[in-house]
Amino acid sequence: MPPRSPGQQAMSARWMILPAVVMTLAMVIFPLGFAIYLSLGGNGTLPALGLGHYSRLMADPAFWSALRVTLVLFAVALVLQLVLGTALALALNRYNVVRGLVRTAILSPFMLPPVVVGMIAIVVLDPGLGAANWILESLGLPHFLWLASPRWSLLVVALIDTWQWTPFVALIVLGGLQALPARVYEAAEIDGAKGWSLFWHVTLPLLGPTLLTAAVLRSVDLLRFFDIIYITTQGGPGNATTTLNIQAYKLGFDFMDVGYASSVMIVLALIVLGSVVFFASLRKKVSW
Amino acid sequence: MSTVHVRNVKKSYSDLTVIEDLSFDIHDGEFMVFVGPSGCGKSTLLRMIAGLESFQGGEVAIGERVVNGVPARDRNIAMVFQDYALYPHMTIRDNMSFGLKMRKTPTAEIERRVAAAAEILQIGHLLDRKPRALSGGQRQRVAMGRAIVREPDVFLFDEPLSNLDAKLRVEVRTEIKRLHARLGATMIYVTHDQVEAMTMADRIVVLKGGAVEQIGTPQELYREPRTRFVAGFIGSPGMNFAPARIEGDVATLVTGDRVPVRRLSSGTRAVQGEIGIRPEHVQLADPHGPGVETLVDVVEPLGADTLVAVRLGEAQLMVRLPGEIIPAEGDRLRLSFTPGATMAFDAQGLRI
Amino acid sequence: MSDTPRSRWSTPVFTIGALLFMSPILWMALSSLKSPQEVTAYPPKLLFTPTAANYAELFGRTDFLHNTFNSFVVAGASTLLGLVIAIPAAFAISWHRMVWPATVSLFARMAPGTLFLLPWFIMFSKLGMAGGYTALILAHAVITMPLALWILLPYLDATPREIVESGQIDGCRSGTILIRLVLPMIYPGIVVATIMSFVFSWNYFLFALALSGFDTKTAIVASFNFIGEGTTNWGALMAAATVIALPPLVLTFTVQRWLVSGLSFGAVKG
Repeated sequence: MPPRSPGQQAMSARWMILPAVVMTLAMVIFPLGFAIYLSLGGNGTLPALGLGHYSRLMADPAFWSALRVTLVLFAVALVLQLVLGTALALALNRYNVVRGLVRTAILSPFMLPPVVVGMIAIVVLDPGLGAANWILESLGLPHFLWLASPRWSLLVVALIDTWQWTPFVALIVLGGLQALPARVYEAAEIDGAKGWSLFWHVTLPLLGPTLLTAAVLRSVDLLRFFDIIYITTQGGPGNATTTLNIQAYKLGFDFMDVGYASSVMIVLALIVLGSVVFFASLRKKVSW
Repeated sequence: MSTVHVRNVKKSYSDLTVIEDLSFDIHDGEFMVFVGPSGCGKSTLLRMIAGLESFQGGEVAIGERVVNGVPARDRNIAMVFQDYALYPHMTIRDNMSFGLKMRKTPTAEIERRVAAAAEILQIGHLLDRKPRALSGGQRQRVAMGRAIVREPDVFLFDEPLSNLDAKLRVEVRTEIKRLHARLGATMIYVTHDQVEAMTMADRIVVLKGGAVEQIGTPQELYREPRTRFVAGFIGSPGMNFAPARIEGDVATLVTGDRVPVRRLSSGTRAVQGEIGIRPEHVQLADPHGPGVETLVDVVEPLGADTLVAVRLGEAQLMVRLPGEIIPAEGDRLRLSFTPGATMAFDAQGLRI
Repeated sequence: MSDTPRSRWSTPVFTIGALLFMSPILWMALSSLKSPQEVTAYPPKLLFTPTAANYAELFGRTDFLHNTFNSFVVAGASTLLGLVIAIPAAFAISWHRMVWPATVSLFARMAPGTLFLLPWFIMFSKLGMAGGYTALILAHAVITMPLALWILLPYLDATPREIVESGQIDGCRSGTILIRLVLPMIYPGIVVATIMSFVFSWNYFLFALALSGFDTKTAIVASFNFIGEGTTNWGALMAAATVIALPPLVLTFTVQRWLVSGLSFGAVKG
């Protein structure tokens, strides 16, 4: 309903937002404050309020490992999903096949509960009896440990998430592609651009804002990565897939170290906030 | 039916003044038109009377009741919106009944009023359709029907014809006038079109920049505009202006021509200002009488008249000549002004 | 665009690609129909006699039926609660063009769920609500409410202001305007918001993992517990996965046309 002169409406509907405000205060703002309080040693988790949990954090190798795992997963999966999603979107746009079975295939993965995706991964990627190794074997390749590999499990998790979310990125990019002004393409064609150079010099820069939107949406989810890891590896082998979110959950609910867990969560929340602010600051640069 | 009183009303958003200190009265049964260019505050004023928009100072009264703070639903007014605002999910009958239902009017009475209004507007055959099945003109009628069934104290119209094509606009204009004559109700009508204002109004409020320029009957505004703005806004084309030095009853143009002017007040001090003359008050000069030399710029033959744009020194004048006279571009024309029709304005645009 | 010569092979190629892409989902459904011997057979069997034994075991020998019921209760109630709160809020935000609520709800969407989880756990324990439906439903409403708000706002913004004003002149209070005039006009938005809220609430794992009690355990949490039970019964696990996957998939496809355009729309608006 927005347009109309910037007037003061005689009819006030402001009271209608009240339930939402109460809900937000009770379920978001208050818990947020409480979490900060806990992280500072409130509720008896430290003898006195202070930064004790945070200094412990700085000296904890497990925290640094979890931070590294979180950032690696974030970077690898984000790049994979943006590149593959853009490529898929270009193909879908070119051949105009988003209907029937193709549309189903695009929408299904990200509508599935991540837990179900994790359960499928357990069965398909089982090192002994899984279908994935059987396929490798049929192709004459050696078996692979998949999620049980201390070295590669994190990459496998990133690939699973990429399977689930690349179509979503593709859909967003497809929307951006279809909103691009056709005139620009005609002009570029007249200027002699085609194929790769057309993509590199015209399409990609114009897609900037759309890619940024996709990046923000995926970053927020990737930095908070939890479900699939908790279902499949529980953070293992060792702590090869222990992200900050997994670590915080375990600290809080398995070890009941409530104050310390809260400090990990606050750090994670700041990282998420930082990434959003970072992408928001890029918005000006990429918009046209 | 009711009077409407606007007293010292003010409105501003943050630091932007939208309406500054307005006062006027609308008589019972009067057809009042608010006219002015876009952004002059005419719609805001109407919406303040309707109770849709708040304001900071002064008061609005409908009849004897001050309605400041009274919500729109309790003001007993009806409004026809620019986009009609028909409820898309309701039939025409339900659209027209809705306001009465909300006021708990008995069903039999609602049916009677809807039938009567449908009869007046000849929309009886549309009652069971949805708005999207109607043409623009039909929707406009339904919007009026919805107002009529309410039998309100005051009818408000917010540019109701601006979405119709030119031909339909003239038809509906006549129809609204007929409706006013038939119902005898107080009506307030907002438009940016001075032709609509002149043809429909009992009285007109000319607004500019949130302030009243002049209030009067169409004849008063045409004959005795009080400001240069009103003189230029009313009439089609509007009044012509040419810079002049006015001294007593004589104006000296930049070209040196001397023209008699009809002044509102007697003044002897020389004033630098403008003279104003309507296109229809300029004619070809008698070869032996007084006249000014002009150069023809553009010629627009309209059939009955010919509109000619001429240059008089630096100034440009539109002149309405009889249809059989069609000068050529570049011709020299010697023109004279109807005696008593030339007005004088000071540097601030006020009539003197 | 010269795509006519290519369209002859592009459709089959993309269709085969789509099937390969969805093969893990198909594998899940197939595995759920295999007997316990066949499901762990190596090399895996593509041809087998389908059996409902896994479903029989799932629903007969475990509480999974009750867990599924819990999932419906939590997702249904949190969807309803989210909508009841979000609809009037979205109306007020759109009518008054408020800006701050968007920022606040964006933050709620971005924050890691674990951040709220410990405080909630302590809060609900103190209030004696831990493990009950109410706590779970409230927690899930933190997901559904902002989601419904974001989906509904564009629909409300597209509703002409004059309709609301006409309603005032016709004698309505703001509540009546919302219910009798605006809601019927944004009906498609409400349907989409309902379906998406339900799917997101249904899919959410973390809150139920920490906050559900023995009696209120949702299907997702219950199936996670199957994994933990040492000797994993793959057949039953895939049957559980299939049951859990079904409602989101079915519901999604009822609104898929809108989803494809709606998601693109949101992205372009950025």
